[in-house]
Amino acid sequence: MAFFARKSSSKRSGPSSHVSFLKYADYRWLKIASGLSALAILVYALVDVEPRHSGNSWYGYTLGTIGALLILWLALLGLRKRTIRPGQWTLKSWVSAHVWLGLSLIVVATLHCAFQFGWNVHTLAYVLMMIVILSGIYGICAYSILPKQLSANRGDMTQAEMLDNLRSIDRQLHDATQPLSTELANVIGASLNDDPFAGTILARLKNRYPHCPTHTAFETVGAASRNKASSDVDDIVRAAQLLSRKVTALANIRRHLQLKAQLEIWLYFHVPLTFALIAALTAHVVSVFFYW
Amino acid sequence: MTFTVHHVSFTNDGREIIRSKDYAQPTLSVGRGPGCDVALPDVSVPLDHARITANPDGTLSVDAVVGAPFLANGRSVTTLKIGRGDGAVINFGSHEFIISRAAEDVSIRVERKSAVADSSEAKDSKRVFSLGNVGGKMRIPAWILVATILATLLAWPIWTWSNFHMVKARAESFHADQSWSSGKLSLGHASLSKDCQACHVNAFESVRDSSCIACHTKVHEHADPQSLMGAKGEPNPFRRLLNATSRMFNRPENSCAECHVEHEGPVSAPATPQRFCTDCHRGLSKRVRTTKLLDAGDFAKDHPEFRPSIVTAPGETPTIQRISLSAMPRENTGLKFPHALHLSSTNGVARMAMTLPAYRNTGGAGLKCNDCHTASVDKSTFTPVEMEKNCGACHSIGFGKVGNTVLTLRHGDVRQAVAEIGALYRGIGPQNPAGNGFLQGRHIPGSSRPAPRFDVGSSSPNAAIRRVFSKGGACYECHQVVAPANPASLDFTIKPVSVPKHYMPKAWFDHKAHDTSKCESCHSAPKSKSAADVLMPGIKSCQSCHAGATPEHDKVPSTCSMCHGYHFDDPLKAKPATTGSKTPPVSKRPGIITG
Repeated sequence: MAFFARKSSSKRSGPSSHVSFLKYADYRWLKIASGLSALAILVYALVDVEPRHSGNSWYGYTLGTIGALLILWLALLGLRKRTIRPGQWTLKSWVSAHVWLGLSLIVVATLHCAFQFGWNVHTLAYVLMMIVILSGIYGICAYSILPKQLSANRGDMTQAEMLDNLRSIDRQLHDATQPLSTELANVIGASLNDDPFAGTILARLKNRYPHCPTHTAFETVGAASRNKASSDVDDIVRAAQLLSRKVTALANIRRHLQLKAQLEIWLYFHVPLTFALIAALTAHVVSVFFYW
Repeated sequence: MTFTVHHVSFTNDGREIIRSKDYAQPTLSVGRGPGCDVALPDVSVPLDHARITANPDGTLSVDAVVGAPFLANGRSVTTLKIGRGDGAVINFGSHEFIISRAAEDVSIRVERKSAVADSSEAKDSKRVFSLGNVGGKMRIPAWILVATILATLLAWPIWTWSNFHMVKARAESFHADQSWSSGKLSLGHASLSKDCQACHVNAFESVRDSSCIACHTKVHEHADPQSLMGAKGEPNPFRRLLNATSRMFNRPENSCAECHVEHEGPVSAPATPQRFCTDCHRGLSKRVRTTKLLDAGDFAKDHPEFRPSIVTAPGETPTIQRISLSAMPRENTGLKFPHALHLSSTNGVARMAMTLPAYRNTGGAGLKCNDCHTASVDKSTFTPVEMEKNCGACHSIGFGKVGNTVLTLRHGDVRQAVAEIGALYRGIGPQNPAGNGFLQGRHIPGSSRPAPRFDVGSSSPNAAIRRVFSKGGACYECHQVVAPANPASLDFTIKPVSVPKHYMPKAWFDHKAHDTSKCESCHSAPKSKSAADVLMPGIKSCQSCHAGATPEHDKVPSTCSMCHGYHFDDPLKAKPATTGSKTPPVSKRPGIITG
């Protein structure tokens, strides 16, 4: 049975398949992580540790060792994903193991500390670990939901094509602005000089750009285009049409930026706090043996 | 006078393309409008922006037409005069004009310095769409966090430790190594919470017994170490593995801290887990052949019958034997005291008790246990029974009167008593001894009739003394009298009374914790007709309320430590702590430099 599972998994993990990292190899790592968690709980319930379970018991030390090694191994994903190499241990299998074993760490670490918490370095390590795991859970959800939305938003275009489209509109807008009055040229110039990628993290996440020069230009030029008495009304209308296209293109880009931000924001907690966790873990382990 | 304008542009590979045009005219118009001499496709430039005029004196003037400024040599101006033969750098919008002179001619290099739009500038689509474009490097906060945590929670505490290493005591203030405390100390050690080094002396070394003994000076070993090792027996492979691992990490076995686990919260020192006792005491006799102890395990299932210390022969050095209650032992304390007689509610003792001032109008019938057995101050045990205080109200040892004052024999001093009776008969004591109750015969408590009358008329002092020590006499009534070998001698002695201070010295018992029960529910005193009866309750009596370590319905879970101590000899001094120490310990570190 296991043989068939492996055979099946190697087939699915090929580049042409689209099995998610969660389901990798027929949930192999989910099964392993669940087994580890169940075993940890079972032994916790059955062994007689006096006076009560704690990180200071033989079982506490055993779980602590497993947990610490797990954390260090999980952190190695950062190195692994920068290394491109062939072999059975594909990046997808690493990610799958990372996710499921990372989740099992909740059980292992909680039983390790035996639900004893305080204002100390030990609980700090636990809290940091939990934040890292929770941010990872967000990451799992984001990677399960957002790619479809990203794909739906950009249609058939790639990121480079979205940028090229904007460039094309800007060039045309630049040319169309040449005959316009200084007043209109200035507002359009502000739009042309605006960097669509300059928004803050918050602006990207909320997709809110309250003082967007392109919108201002669109409104100003649009209003001017409705003044049929103007001598250069045709030029203005053309500029207004281009601005309208730019507004649409920009909305697409900004939605894309929002989804990308939602897809990546958790890493801003996950990665630095992993480093913080390893530091706290070091302090935790050293302190335990220093004041042994 | 000719203006030569060089329009410069660049190919994709950076090659320069120059398109030049000559203007043989004194004034050159610059602007976005198509009618300008130098038309700039630049939305930031007005349609008709400026004029560049060649003056007759060889100078050049640059003037803004509609007032929109331009940059001249880096300054924002609306007019500029360029001296004869001088050049200038002027920026109109995104375009840079470099004006130079060649004889009378003016050369102007026009170059666009920025893209037509921001989007036209080179952008790496992968980078700009990523949050990293605006989120900054994750490395910076990561290293800041790492440095902060290692500095505050690792380096600082170690520095604190090294700063106070081998110092007598630390100040009562915050110390960084407190952040390492895994939990609050027990109540007894709470005052040491800021002095980690009171116990944790050396780095990477587990808490040594020397730290404990520095304060706990009167605690002794449970048994000699050799016997302890023998009692533990051969550890199983798993225990061997744990022991080897402990040694590897510099944590020796059998330390105080192995049983007394700290940092478990602000509670009293927790009771010793049963396993620590039963690991050795269950099947002990098989491992330690020389032991006199019986094998013992769980109280409910595997505990031998109690073996109280029974006095089998009273004396200055009484013979005390530990005899199992199952062997129905008889004790000999030297006293004659039938409990049943004294606790009856209907006999003469009861009636006599009712005549006593303390009993009048109480409606009580007879004596109660606590009439003689007085609880100790902490109510956990009882003070020794005293003849004068607890027996004397009924058992008078008065022997005469002087006026209304009753003369009493000296209790506990036989020689003195003999001398006092002798003095009475020799006329140096109270007169008319025949007239007082002592020599007339006396009512024995518990008897409705007086004792046989003393033959006053024919008695001599010696006969009176013998009478006191003989059946019906005041001493004989309660004590074992040893008559002299020579019948003519008056050298009577009383066997010393040897009532055990504690029947079960290997255990403690708190009467206060049991004060909701009646005495007779455990001690069958009301049925005891002989002082030889051992009134200690058997194990079944305790087991009716006390379960073993495993909880049972309606029973009190009871581990070994509920009754037994590990370190203490005197059970009366060693009750399980229920509250924290009232006098907080002061750190006394072993091997420290004082002064």
